[in-house]
Amino acid sequence: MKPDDKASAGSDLSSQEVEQTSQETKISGPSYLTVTNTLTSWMFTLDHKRIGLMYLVGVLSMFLLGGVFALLVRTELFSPIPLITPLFAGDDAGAQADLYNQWFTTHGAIMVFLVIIPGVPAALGNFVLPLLLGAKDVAFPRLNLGSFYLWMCGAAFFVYVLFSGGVDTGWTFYTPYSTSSPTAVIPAVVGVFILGFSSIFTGLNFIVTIHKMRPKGMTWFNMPLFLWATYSTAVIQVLATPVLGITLLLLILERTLGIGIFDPQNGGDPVLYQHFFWFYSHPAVYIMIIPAMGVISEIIAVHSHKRIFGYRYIAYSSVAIAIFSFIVWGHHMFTSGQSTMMNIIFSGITFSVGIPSAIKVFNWIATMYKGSINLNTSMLYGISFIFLFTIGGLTGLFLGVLSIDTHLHDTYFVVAHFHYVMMGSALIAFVGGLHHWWPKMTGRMFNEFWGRIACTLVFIGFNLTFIPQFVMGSLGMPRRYYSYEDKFQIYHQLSTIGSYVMAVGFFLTAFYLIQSLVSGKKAPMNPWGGNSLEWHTPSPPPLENFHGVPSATDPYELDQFDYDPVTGNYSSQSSKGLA
Amino acid sequence: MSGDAHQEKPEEAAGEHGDGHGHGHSPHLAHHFDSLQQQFEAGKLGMWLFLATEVLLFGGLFCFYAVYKANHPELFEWGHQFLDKRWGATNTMVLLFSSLTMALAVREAQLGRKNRILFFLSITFICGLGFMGIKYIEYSKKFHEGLFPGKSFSYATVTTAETERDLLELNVVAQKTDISRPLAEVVLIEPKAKGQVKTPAIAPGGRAINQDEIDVEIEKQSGHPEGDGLYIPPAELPKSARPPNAHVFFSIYFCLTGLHGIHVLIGMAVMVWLMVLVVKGRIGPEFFTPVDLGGLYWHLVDLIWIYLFPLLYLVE
Amino acid sequence: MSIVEKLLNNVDWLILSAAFLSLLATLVAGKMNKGTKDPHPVVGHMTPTVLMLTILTALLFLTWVTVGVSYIDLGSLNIIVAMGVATIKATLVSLYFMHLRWDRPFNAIILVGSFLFLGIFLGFALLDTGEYKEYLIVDPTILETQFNPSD
Repeated sequence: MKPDDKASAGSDLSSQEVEQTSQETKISGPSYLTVTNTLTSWMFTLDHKRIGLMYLVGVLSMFLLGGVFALLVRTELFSPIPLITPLFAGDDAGAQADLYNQWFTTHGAIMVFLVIIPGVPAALGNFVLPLLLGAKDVAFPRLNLGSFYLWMCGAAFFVYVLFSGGVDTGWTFYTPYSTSSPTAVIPAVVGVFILGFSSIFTGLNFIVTIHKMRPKGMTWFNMPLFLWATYSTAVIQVLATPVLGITLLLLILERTLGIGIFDPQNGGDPVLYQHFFWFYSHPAVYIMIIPAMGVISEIIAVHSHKRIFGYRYIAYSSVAIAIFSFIVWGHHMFTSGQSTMMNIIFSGITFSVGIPSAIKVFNWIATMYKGSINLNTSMLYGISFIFLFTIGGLTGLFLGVLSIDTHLHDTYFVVAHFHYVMMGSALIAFVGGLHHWWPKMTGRMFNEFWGRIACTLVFIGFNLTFIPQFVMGSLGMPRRYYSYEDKFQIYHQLSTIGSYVMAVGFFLTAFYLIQSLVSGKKAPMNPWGGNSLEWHTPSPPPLENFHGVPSATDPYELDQFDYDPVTGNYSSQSSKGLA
Repeated sequence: MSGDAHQEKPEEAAGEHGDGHGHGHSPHLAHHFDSLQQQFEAGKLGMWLFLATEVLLFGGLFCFYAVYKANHPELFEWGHQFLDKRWGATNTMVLLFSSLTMALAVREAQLGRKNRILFFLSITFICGLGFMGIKYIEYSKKFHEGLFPGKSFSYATVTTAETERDLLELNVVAQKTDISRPLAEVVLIEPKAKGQVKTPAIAPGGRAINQDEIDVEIEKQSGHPEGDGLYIPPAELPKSARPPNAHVFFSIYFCLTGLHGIHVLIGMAVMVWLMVLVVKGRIGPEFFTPVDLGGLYWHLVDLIWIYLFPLLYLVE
Repeated sequence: MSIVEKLLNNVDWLILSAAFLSLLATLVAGKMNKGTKDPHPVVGHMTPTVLMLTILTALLFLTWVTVGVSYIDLGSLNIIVAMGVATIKATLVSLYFMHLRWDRPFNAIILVGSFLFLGIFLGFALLDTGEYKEYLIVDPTILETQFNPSD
């Protein structure tokens, strides 16, 4: 990256910087937020930044809804005797248990399909991806808006399900119960089907954007790792999600017409359903984690002010995880009746899928080593991720061992494992990324002090919630049970307390983030000292993203910046702009 | 704003025209693209990714087919006799021809000859109509014979009857039994067999009944007391035994051809939309992407049929 | 219906005649277009008409072959031959009608890749179902549960 390239680009930017860095900032042009302000300009926007923001609001709202159901579940489990289900379902134990089943199903389905799968790609990726590429928008802006409306449609179906009898099959919709349950299975499944297409079109858009709209000088091995992560995720989205689509379609047909594919009463095979379902749903969990890892790569490097260690290895590992994710789905089916031969094959391959993930963890730690670490909120989330993902990943490997899984399948051990990876890793990375890009998206700085407090609360609460679950799982506590033997109570109680601590942490986060919108300090162009292209445009960006045509930077040349404590801005030493 | 802000190999960039250099902006160039070539290639790439999703979508149904063919070959040995490969072959010819006319339509779009584009698009549409027409003929024949997917399946034929009495007995048993449950004897009633009572509708969820009930029913239905018999030549009885899960074959058939048929209908709608675009003057040598991508969709529909046809109609 | 029935009963001759008609059209088009060259398109690549007609001829001929072979009992080879012919036809359609011959190779990689992943799905599903089918309980009367139709 030659200094003169930066200088010539800087001459356009430096005038912008001048305006940005003054405290009485009047931005020289409107930002994407202020350029128009009618309802229809938002509803029919083609601007990826606005679409990303709308996704963000939607995803966070659904996170709240899913979280409410989580708290209902955890509260109910505080004691082996029914605590709050009688309030809604009366005195009949069967009805209480059915209601509990609906709660964990709803929690799972909302979190998986409406929050974590769209989370990083749609809410953060939509905003950041074109900026990272120096592009004006994604390849297909109308398709992007279409994806968002499909997401809304799917969410609407879920809300409808809540008011029409709920669904109690578990988020996995296993047959034969899902083909005979009297609850609103079909609307729920239609909602998921629609969300699947939202995901497919987002992935499609991102692949084309990354292939075709990179700027001059940005080769594949020059681009920020978040793009490698997004690309790998998008490949999974495009290849795996259609199989979920056809699975759900066949499930609907089985339920309505009795076609005889999944329900033994009609001549079908329930294990075949699981093959169909997990062929998508295993890659789906990598849709959740790979973008999160991409975010972490950015956060760790930027906030350590150090070049990312092992760029190529991280890039290759993203692709490797994506490909490997397609050949391990049977590890969800070890005790379902899958043949011994396939059990062995899937178990063996599952061990190998941990390797690329481990490579990433080592690279992040090596990045931090001898870096100039800034322990701000995003970085705290990043470090939490490394810790929590290590636990989540390792416990996944334990579950991959056939002899161990025989005992641990369908226990709380599994529940704890997937919460460590889905929540402790994917969601934590999402929140970390939200903080990292918050100044760019909103043009405001949030309160770091409360950010760190909230992160600590979430971290402590999370571990308090789920470590007891590992223990009671290995002691035999089954999952999806609304009552249990007395010996498990202490663990459940600790877990419930932990969930409330976490809830406080998240509510605190919401509070200070919203407060920042009202009274937060105006964000400078580069508050963290990043060098990828999004930090070379004002916060928030103008509608067309950049003034002029940006050329590629070296996104990991991070030790070149001067920090101005007055404005909070990092500027490059070689830039002609004001510090 | 100068173009070429994308990673093109120099030898590819050399042959292109209209890349934005000094030509000004074509009205067909979207604001976030730098050249018509980039826009064109992006559209193609996007469409191929979408086609990949369609392959995987149908793939689930091919998996349904494969698993049952491998593990329950008797379903296919029995079921294939109801599929008319003559109609299937005709449909294949229709779709192959429509693929040609679609490709010719794309060519005409590149040449900008409006009337010819419309001509070829209409032929493609008519071929689609023909395809759906043949599908209608096939489907209605099956529904007429009670060959529905799933629990509405109501086709039953007799193999083991040697007398009309046997025929009636098995008839009555079939009436009372849910055909998705296996019976000790396989029960089939051929609607065209001589002297047979009207094909019964099978009551779902029933169970096998005992002999006395059968005798009573037979007397009621035929008016013949036990022991009377009419001979039905074996040649008139169908060859293979209907398997217990016979309806699954038709589930596979209707799912595969049904989803494919829906895609043909969507393709026909796309043809209409393309014709509207052409009439409005939006299609020309600089921007024929909708026709090109619509063509790719139609070709995929043809591709899927190329595999469907032998798997369902030709292989036993 | 009898004319239709007569036509249908000779559908293999119909296919062969269609193939020959297409061959005729190809030769005629070849003669007509001799010496002319397609104009250079603004974007993309233009397929010559003669080539398209050649491909259709090949496709129709291959259809005739596959229908004809289906009347011969080759046992387990039948499905292999049928799939083989189908794959050749599919290759012709994707290379020439769908333009992959002249497109960026990545588009072809996408198509082949999707078939590969489908192959993984089918392969593992077939392996597993084949292995456990002897343990499947086929008689549903053993699974005595109420069947409740859906909403």
